[in-house]
Amino acid sequence: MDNTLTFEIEADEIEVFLQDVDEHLAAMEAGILSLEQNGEPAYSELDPKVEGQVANLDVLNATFRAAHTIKAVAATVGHRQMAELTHTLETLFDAMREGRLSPTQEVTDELLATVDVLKAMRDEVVTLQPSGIDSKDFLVQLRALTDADDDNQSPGFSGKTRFPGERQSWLTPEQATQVQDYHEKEYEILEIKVTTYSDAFAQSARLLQVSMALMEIGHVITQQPSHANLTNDQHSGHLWLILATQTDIAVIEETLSQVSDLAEFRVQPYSASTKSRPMVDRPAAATFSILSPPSSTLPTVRISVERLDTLMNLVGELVTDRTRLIQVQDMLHAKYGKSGIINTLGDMTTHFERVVDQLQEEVMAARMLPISHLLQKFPRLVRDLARASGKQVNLIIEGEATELDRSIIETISDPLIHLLRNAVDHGLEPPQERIAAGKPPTGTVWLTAAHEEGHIVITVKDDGQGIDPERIRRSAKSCGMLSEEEAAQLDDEAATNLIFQPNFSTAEQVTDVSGRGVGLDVVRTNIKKLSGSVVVESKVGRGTTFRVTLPLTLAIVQAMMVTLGNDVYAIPLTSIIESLYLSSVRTSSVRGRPVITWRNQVLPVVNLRRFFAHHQLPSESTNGKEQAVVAVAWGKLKAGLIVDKLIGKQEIVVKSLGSFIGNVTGLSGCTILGDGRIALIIDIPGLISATTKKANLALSGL
Amino acid sequence: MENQLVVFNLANEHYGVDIATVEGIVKMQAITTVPHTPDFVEGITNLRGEVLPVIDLRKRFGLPGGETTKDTRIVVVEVSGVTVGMVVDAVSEVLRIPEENIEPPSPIVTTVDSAFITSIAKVDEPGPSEAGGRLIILLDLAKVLSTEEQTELHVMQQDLGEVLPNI
Repeated sequence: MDNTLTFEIEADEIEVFLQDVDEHLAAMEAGILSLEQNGEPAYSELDPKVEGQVANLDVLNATFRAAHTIKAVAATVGHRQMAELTHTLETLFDAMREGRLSPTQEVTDELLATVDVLKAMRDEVVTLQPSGIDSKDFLVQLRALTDADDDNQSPGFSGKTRFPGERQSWLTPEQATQVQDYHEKEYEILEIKVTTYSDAFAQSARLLQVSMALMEIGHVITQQPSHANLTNDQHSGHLWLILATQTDIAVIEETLSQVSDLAEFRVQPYSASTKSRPMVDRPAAATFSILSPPSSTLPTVRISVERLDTLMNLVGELVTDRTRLIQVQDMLHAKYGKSGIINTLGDMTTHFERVVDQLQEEVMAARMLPISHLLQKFPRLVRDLARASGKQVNLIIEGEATELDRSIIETISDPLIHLLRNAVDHGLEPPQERIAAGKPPTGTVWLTAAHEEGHIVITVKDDGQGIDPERIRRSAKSCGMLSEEEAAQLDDEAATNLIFQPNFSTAEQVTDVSGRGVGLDVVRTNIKKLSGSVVVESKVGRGTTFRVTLPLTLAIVQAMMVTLGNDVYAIPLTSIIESLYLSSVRTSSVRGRPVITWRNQVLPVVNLRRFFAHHQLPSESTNGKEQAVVAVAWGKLKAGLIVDKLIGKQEIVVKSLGSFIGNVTGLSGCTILGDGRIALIIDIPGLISATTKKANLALSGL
Repeated sequence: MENQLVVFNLANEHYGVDIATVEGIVKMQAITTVPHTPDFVEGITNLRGEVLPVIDLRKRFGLPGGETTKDTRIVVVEVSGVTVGMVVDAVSEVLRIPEENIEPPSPIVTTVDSAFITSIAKVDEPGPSEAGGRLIILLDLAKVLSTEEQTELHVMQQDLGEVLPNI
């Protein structure tokens, strides 16, 4: 017999399975971390007036639901181990809900490790190869958590009506009434909990024996597991029941002590104050009903990214056609004047324009995802990093609802991981050092996402030791990047930003600047690919802030269209600060490089004709009057681009130049114009970094 | 075994490519020059909403530049997943050529770098456009569109970096 696994899942269902499981695993992981952070036992001392506790209960409920869904999915595909493990997790969350278990660091470690095991099990469904992990160990450890915790508490069942390993043991309203009735008849209501030795022979028989014995002494109102389940050997070594009796507790204890193989038993009056609590005190009880999703959720369908991309491309063609249609209409109008048919065409064009605009907006919106999809994996990362480095870290995430094009979300993940790693590893000091510096021992890392003027801005900020610009200068000099004079000219901010320079991150210099700068050039390169930018601000002893700016979407952008010779180029509007006529600005040269003076700044200028080697092209009728300077910025770098003529703003659909043409310095892609011709899109980050050599770093003011 | 070829003219010579690689033939249309690319890369053009890179085969083969005429065509070929347009003087016909008429290349018969040639086909029967007895040069498209040119392209970009401070 071979070693492969079999599951009840069709090949075409695997994707859905993965999406389901991944989504809920992520939710569960986020929940576990959130619980650890908030620390409070969720339910037992729940005071509805305290908002934090309610929020925590919500988190617990969501986590529970996630676990429950995974259990259901695992059971559907026939992964029994996975279902069993998730079931045990549920039990733990349940215990937390009742306050029997606190989300301590140890418990969280265990829970997170279990999530990892579940991930390995998820992979088994795809690879059909056993992961080699024995979930039994985890099951035992997890179960030990609830039991151990239970035992540590004061003896008795104060406030506890549930039992580990069992679910749905709250009294139903009927049972509650029954309890009430017996109570009025002066019966003693007792809660009895029995555990057998786990290695005992015939555990179910022992538990049945207990159950039968108690039935003779009183009325069993409810019990978990039920008689039937005990008969079928369905139990976890525990028995919980509510007994109405007129027999003395001591007698009952005596009876129980005569049953062999019982590890422990407890008999406790069932407190009237706790019995109806789950029904009345807890308005949130409805969300406990695990299967029903939050009522605010609208019906949704899953759609593949590929299909969304196809839709986007089709809309892109419509956008191009729209522009073209307007041009044709204008031409007809100019040629034949306003006649009936042309007016009709005009109306249709206007309507078409509006519909295409809306369609485009909708498709774009469909591609947007809240950034929480990305951010939710970071608490785990930061926690692991902190544990590994022996630091105390408090991660604060803000702006999770901020929406971003999904293609950007996918690509921005690695750079953000890098920045967070940097913040924990190199930014924050160990607790001792922090205390010595008069800071709280726990360092804080803020991860914030927000909309800002058509951009998304993500900041990673820490309150650590900061970056010392003087050390950066020294390193830059020692690796020959800057001369003595250049280094002296750099202001602190510009010096700090040198950490993004590729040649800056050689191992030698890294130790020099306390490990800062490792691979930060890679971070910047990745962000640059998304037409984004990253800058750093830092204060020695106070902390460091990385600010990542990204476009909302990459597929359709607003651009300023310009001409060079006969060719049309597009400059993305997001990079443009201002456009001016060349004749209106003062040009001069600094160290042989042409510059313009603009708003009291010296701006290096790039003649695009020369950059793109168009100087051999015949000059169009432009006699210089129409020549313009487009001031652009990428992060803190600015430049003026000299173009032949400004055409105007336009919405363009970004297309790749294709693998045959490959990457071209200064170009990020192309777009099809209304007349069918192709315009090239200028890559501002690429152009600026290509023209800004180290020699003029200082000059450009970085 | 028969080979089916798309035959086109370039500087008074006949060239053939396997019909299976040919995606289409279009009339000459507006091509946007892409800066910082090798000389033989004409640029990119809009082929039914798709961006198509176009090379000039004359320049690729180091032949003297030709005028664009009403016969000038772009032959669109696909080789290992990459679609490229090739500017040729004219497309003449589609020919079936028996295996035995195809011979290994001889450096004497052609002006084109033999690296681009897989074989030479002899045509005895008169074609629709001219008298028989022609030689058709069969192109190795993988080499014609070779990635070595891409390397060349990257070298160019590196050189560019040195030139830039003088802009």
